[in-house]
Amino acid sequence: MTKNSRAFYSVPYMLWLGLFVLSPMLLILYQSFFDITGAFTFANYATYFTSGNYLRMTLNSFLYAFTITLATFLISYPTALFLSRTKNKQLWLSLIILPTWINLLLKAYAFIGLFSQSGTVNQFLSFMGIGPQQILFTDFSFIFVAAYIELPFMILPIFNSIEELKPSLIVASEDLGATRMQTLTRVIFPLTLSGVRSGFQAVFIPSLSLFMLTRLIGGNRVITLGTAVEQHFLVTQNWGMGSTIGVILIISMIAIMSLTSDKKKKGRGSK
Amino acid sequence: MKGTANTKWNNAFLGLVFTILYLPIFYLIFYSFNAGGTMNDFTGFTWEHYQAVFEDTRLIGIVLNTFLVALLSALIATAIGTMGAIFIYYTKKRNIKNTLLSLNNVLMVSPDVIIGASLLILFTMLGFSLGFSSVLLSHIAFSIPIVVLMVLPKLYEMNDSMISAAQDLGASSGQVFSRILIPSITPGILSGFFMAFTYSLDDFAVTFFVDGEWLHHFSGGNLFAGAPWSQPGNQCPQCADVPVYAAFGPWLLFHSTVRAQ
Repeated sequence: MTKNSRAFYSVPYMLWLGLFVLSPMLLILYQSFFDITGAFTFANYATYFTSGNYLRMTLNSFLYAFTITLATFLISYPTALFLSRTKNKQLWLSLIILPTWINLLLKAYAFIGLFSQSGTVNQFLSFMGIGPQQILFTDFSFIFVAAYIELPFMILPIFNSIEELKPSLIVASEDLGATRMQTLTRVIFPLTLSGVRSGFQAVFIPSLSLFMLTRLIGGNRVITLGTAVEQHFLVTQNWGMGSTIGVILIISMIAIMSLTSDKKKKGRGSK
Repeated sequence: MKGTANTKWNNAFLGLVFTILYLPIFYLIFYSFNAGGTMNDFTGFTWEHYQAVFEDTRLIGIVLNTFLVALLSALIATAIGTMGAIFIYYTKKRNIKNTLLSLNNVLMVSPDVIIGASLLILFTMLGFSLGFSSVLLSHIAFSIPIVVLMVLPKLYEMNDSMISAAQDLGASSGQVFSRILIPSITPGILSGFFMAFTYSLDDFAVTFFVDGEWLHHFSGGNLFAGAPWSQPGNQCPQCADVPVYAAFGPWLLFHSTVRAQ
């Protein structure tokens, strides 16, 4: 490949990198130093770190993301483990992936139908004599639906790391007299931690930045960092503050990725 | 595997997980045929909501826009992404290559709100009017890294000596490109195109930020953002609209099969 043709291939791609990758990230940092009237200020950061509301919102956002990730993990690990023992595991695995291709909003609407006051779940609860309950717009429904949506992204990396595990290690552990539980906690789990880490990243970061679900399922009671960015940009039009929270979100994201990655592991796009 | 009782429990657990995974999807499809028009009381079978979809010119307009944006953005992103992948492949310095690869992944790992908000700032600063072109540019922007990631492995699978041989036998660089390079990475280019196409169809978050006056009325997922629950605290007084939106469930199932290829 000659120098000239290499330059030719690089032009559109480098333009894209500069214009749509680097400059937007720098612009969000730049915008965070301007107030709503367009004057240069550090006030956004001052407000963020002194107002209890923003700090509480951030803490809450982390708590929700952590709960969602934990719930997803508790369901995903056994699922991945049992999947790896089935006969047609590739088929079952693709059935786990398939729902991720259906739009998030459609799934949210399905849950509105299931969870609403006169919805199917409440009809069932009434039939059992304990309903109807308020399910939609509660913390439970938000965490449930978020975990539902993120589930495949946790199962997939854990399943892959279980598949990479050498079966001889499990046989050896059994031969040496370990019980099934010991084999699981002392052999299988420690050796599949890399998959758990990738799953954690793939679920935690999108959970911090969820924004439509907080409205549709959380009934605007749950405010995550993502919701705060969206509200500041599209509702209150305070782009400076929105960018400030955006910068905080980016920093948290980088921190989580460097804390949880052992070697070079990349997360997943938030689609 | 030992212990049939254990296997039974395992399968029961898996059964439960699969039921929960698929229940909402089939629920949506089921109620799209509900004559009652709500999502909780099935009164009879009807096609009327599907007819309503095809009679609603605004909805048809949105669908056409969605496909137009998806098609154009996927085509352009495939062209730029393929060139980018070739550029990365021929970058020999290791640290430059790694930098390019991590920059390539920035838009893959960034949350949608960050992509949307930062692109909104970009378009506003450039004085770009929000609408079709800003949506198209954004979709191209977030599709390019997907195409690069699809094409790059095919480049590494390619036999380099084929290119050297072609050059030795006097092929021009244009001939090497069209006769050797492109044919050997075509599967990657095609899957990149289909991925980009369906990502664009599926997106609502980024579009939500950059579509300006088309808010709620433009691309892919925004079809559904237009549904009545967008209002906070709304306990669904217009649930009659649900099946119209739910009618798109099967359509989305179709597009997921496109992505599966």
